[in-house]
Amino acid sequence: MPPLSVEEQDERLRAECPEFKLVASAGWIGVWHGTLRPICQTYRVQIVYFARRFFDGWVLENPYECVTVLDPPIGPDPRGTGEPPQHVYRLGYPPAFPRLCIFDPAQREWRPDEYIVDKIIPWTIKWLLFHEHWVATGEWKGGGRHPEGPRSCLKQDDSDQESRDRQARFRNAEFHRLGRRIGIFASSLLMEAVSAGSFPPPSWLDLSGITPAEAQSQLTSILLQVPRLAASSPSGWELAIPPRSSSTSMSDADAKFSLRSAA
Amino acid sequence: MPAYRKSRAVIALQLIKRWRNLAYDRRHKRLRRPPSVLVAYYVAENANRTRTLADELIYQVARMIATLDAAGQGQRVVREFNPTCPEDELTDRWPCDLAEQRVFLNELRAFAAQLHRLRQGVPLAEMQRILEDLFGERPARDAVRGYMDQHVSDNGAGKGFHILRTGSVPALGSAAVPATARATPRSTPFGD
Repeated sequence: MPPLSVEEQDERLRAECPEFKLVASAGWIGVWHGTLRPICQTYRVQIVYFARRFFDGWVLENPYECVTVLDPPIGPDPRGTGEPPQHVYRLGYPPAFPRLCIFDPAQREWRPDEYIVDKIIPWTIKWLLFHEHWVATGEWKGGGRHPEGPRSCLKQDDSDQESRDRQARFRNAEFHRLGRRIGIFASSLLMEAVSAGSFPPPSWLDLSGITPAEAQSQLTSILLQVPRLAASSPSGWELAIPPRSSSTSMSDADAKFSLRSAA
Repeated sequence: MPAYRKSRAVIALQLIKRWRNLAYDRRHKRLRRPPSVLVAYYVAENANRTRTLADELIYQVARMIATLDAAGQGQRVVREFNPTCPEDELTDRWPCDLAEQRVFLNELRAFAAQLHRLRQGVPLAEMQRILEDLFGERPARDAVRGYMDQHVSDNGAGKGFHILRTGSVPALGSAAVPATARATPRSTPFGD
């Protein structure tokens, strides 16, 4: 069975979990924000879903789903004892926002032809329930098992010039498509801001349902709030927005960084 | 009778009485406490106008605060009578004076503030601390332990439930499943 589309996932989510809103979508990737309250505390959660991982000439190695808690941050030391949160993917994710390990991929407990609302949401509720109990008592009672190390994000199945060109064309096309959706075209740092699973700036939460001008304003403010994104630039955030002539292209490093952050 | 078979108002009354006993034992040992019959009368006057136990408790406390506050504003003590026997005054022994009434009013206000904190949402550890403060250490710990034991047992047996609309789990797990709850599929939490 092929993976469900972002639209199909969103339709069920909106119908059954009205709290969850699709905040970014580019056809092959969808990002939802919503709140869950397993016991007494409310958690703001982000779900990133890749409806497509196989592209012309290369494979995206991100998992099909990625659930993170935006607020309150669950890492890196939720108990104040130095212990990291249980059953999360920490390697490759920011310490405060690890990816939740809500099921065992080796057992194929969820597949992308299944609805997020049927399994991912219930398992996230369950994970949060046992996480909250673990924070209070130091005992994880939700069961499970522990994994191996992290994986890289992008896997190039061919390194010849033709494959690289295909990948570059794809990235540019997706960059334009996402830009049209959110009403702004700029650097890969903005792509990062839109697909940021790793650093959730608060002002980005309301991107859905606003005008392009508002989106541009909000994304500009995101850049101002996210010095980390421009930290690699010695000249600060201004250099993070490249000249107009280069604003429609992404380097391999930028794409890898953006996509990795999204999942 | 299990708690989930009682009306919300009855459970709210029991909780208010328990809280009152602890509050007076801890802070006002020498004062006469508001009589149970008066508390029961106030609860019955406003019973079951809410949808959840938490709402019921908050509502009942708010109504008592409003009644006592109105009397205090008028520089008088409350006077209540048994509706089925009007010569039976429920307030014949309490409150003796405005000061005694004010003590209860201030305690009720602090109680309401804690209930609102719970309503707004706090982590489990904080919730347990608040419950211990309001209703006593042992009952609060037993309640939290019982709550988690039920969910651990449900999860182990593949009988867990969740409520999508609220993003929550049923308070009593599989012991009392609301109509809005759905079975949670089995899963194996992973990760390091």
